[in-house]
Amino acid sequence: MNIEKTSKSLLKEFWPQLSNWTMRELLWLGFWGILFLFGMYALYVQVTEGHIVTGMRDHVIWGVYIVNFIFFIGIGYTGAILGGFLHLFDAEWRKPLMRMAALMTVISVIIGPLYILLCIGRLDRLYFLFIHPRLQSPIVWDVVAVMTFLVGGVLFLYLLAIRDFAILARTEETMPAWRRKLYQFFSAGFINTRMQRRDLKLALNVLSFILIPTVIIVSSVLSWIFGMTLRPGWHSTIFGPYFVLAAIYTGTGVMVLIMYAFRKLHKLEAYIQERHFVYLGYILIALGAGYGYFTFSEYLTDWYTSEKWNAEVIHKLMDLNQYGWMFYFANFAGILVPIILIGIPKFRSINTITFSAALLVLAMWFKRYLIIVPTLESPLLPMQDIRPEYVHYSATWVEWALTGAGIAMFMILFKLASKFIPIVPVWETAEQIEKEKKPVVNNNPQPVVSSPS
Amino acid sequence: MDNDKSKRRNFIRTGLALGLATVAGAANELLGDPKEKSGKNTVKLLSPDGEIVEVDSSELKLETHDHAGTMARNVTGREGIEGRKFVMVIDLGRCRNARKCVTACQKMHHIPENKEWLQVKLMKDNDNAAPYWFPKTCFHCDNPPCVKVCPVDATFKRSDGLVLIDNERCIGCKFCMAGCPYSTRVFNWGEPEVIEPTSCPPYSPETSTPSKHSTVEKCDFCPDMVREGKLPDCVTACPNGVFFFGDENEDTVTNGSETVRFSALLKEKSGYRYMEELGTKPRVYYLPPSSRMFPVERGFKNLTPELKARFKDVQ
Amino acid sequence: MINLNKMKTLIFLTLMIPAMVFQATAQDQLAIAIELVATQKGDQGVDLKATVTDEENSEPVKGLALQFSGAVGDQTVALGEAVTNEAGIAELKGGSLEALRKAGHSFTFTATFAGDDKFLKNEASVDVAEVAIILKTETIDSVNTVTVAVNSWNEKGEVVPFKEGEVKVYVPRMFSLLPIGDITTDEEGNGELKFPSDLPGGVNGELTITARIEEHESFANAEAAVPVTWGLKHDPQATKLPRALWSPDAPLWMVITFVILMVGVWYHYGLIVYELIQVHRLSKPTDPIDYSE
Repeated sequence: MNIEKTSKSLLKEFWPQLSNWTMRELLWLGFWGILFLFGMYALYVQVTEGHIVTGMRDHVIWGVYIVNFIFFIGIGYTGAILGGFLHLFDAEWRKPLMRMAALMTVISVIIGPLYILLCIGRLDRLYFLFIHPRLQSPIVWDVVAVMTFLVGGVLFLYLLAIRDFAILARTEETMPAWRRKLYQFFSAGFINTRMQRRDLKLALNVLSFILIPTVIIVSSVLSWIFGMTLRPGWHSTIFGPYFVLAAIYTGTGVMVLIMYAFRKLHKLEAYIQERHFVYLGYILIALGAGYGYFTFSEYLTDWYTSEKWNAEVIHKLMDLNQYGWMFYFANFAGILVPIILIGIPKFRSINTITFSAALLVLAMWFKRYLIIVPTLESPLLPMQDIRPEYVHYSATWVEWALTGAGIAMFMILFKLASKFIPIVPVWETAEQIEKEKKPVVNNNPQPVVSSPS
Repeated sequence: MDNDKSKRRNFIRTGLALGLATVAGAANELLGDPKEKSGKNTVKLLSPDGEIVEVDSSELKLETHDHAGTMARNVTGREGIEGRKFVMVIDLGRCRNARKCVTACQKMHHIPENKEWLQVKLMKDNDNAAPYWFPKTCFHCDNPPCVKVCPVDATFKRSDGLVLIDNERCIGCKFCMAGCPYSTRVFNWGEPEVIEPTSCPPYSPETSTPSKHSTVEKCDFCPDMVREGKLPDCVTACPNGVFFFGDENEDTVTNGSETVRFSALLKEKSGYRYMEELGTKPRVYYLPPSSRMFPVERGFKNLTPELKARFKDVQ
Repeated sequence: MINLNKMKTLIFLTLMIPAMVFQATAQDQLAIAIELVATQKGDQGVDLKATVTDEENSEPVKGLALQFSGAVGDQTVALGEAVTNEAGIAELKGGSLEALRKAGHSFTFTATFAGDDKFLKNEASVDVAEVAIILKTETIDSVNTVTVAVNSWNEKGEVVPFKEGEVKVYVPRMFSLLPIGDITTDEEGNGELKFPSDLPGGVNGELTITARIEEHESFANAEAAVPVTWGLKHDPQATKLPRALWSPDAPLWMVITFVILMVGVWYHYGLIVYELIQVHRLSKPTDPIDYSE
């Protein structure tokens, strides 16, 4: 078969993207770079002056940092679970998307935890987490979970990239010697023997298999930071699965946005096709429906029983003078609009799916804000505090700057990664192209990598 | 004659020593004399048998305390006082929001006025309920939701029932603050203000002072004093004997002037724990605000406008 | 000579003028008030507690050394010295009365402050007639009973019973004395009190019972104490906290679950790394390179 040949031609097509920086790209990088540096300045201010520079105070002890943490970590978990599922179910169309999914996982899971560090007052004592850990604390669970997951995510990215590293190491395209050496190193000596293919496939199967329960656990652990407290709106038994669904829903939305961006910027229309958007759109509908169901169930039970503090939080959420607009945006625009736009075939297109994705990603950020802030503004005992900053949380420029820095970091890392390794996996895409050329023999195709030579 | 002579000698000596004396005096003045002036005011007080008596305000002066003993014994603060189980009973019927507990606590722990480890809230349980003053310390729960969630064992429960914080261990994640349903804990968002730092004892989880930046702190039931058999400062500062403190193992609590059996007090006055339904098992009990010594309005007397504004939603 | 003397006087006077101005303030020692309370403790002598405040502000005065003495008639015995603490309290515990008793049974106790640069000399006295509380504990019909016999001495030195006197019974606790009840003595100076059976004591039920005559006009305070084991036995609590969510050690199931989860995931990671090592090892192929798939 011609996979080798096809991948060579694919690489030839992608190579300019990998080897040259266009002016536009540099400007893009510069823009995010400035935003990032501004965030670093904010970080300097926060580290030197303490958390007093944030909008957080004794009642609202966590703010947009923890919102960003949940947001990014959720996105990170998605890449792995989505990739893992699609790999295990051997959905052929997944192949051009796997690199983006894996990169999204690793980059988000690097950025997310940085936000939790911003919530820690004494970073100089961070190592206490490792020398005095208490297993009973959900924070310790989360630290272990995130680190465990990060290792899995890196492995996932790497396993999916070994073949491309091997191809890049052997390509005839010209590149500096150090770069070829780096590719050589990362290719782990993969020269595409039958045994190597078998080992690699086994490793990927094992990883996909183990990543799915891992994501479910680590994502639940994240929710338990809140679920384990005696706070209205947090102390909920469905928080584990609710967070899992919310994470994947958001992450799939971000995945659509990434696809859209690279499709346009790298001119990858031939590989990231309409069907990819449609398939992910279907997944979004399923997740959105499930997530919507959880949301409805959560608010309905709180509202119906109207236990004192729950009722107070629900009131704050629904009151248009308080969090009403955010609440309706998050729960209607974030759930119903995507379902309608993607669900009705007449509306379904790359643009509407992308629009829906953007809408829901934004909505899900606000949803996390609605989980964190109104609850913290509703302590069980009356606040009876007249210092406005203690009563109402509003993020300061430092927090917004660092939020911007996180987004900038996401953009920059993605861009840099796409300069090092093709954003559409060469070998897997070649394999898919070759495979789809063949007439379909039966409805239950063999996994590609083990197809007889 | 003899007397005169010695007086003159004294006179001369004083004259020569005046330089030194004035310098010393000035220094004394600058460093601040701990003694406060108190006029010849009389205040109404609750006597041990529940009668209101008038006493000269100067007699109300608190004992001043030093934390010196703690360090001498080299107590790490993590082990409880052997054989003890401390408990507090707060009689809501006696509180008139005098706020002496709040200020005594702040003085004891060298914390500024805007940081209240002990708060007096005005509670009104429902629209028809009568409002009442509600002093709130840390509840030192037996099932403490704050300790459960601490990732580094910085806040801990001792065998004597106290929940303390090791501010040299605390990483400032604030999870305990989210965990505490009573909003008891405060965080040093910036560099903490330490009042009269020179008289501050060395830090230990039992002294809880001086405050450390970016860490969590709260009411500690003054274990350094308790170790010496002295009552916490809020207890002794209260002019109305609102706070009873003692050892549950001895079934005895005292507010300084009255000593009663803990079980009998709860039985006779229908003692309860605040928000029992949360399952946190507080070590602080409340006596309901029945048979009140003061009308609730008394609590608004002598309040600054800022303090009054706190309660505007209740009135 | 005269001139010189004159000059000396002149110099002396010029020096004295400013000195006199300052003398008024420097010489102005503060007056103190001493409040003396005596507590007779039978064989254990007398406790004397003096509270010192300055007269102007009524603030406690710290660090003053007070001399305590006792007198019967014109015979005076020094009992000891104590220094006031932060609260202005100087306490002498168990001042010996043996010498004084030989002379009589009416004591005058005095706390004296000798005066210093800052505070004026002062003293306080209290007259105390000796009283003896004999405190006995017995179990009558399985009821624990505290009995007291209280006697004092008349002017002739004869023992007379303390009639219809009030004796308070306490159990000392960590911070204060827990009142148990009051005894009013009969014509013979005797009285009794049923002791509660439900009072927690030490590990073996140890308690101390203290009987006190308080603020009596001639006896001042008097007390007698006796240890008993009438308390409820108190289980010594283990200082080691149990495994719990709120203790340093996690519940066992949590540790086990954690280990299972960790081993579950990391074992598979290990497997993957092993496979990667295999891939690397196979880069020197034993089987021919095979590009066809």
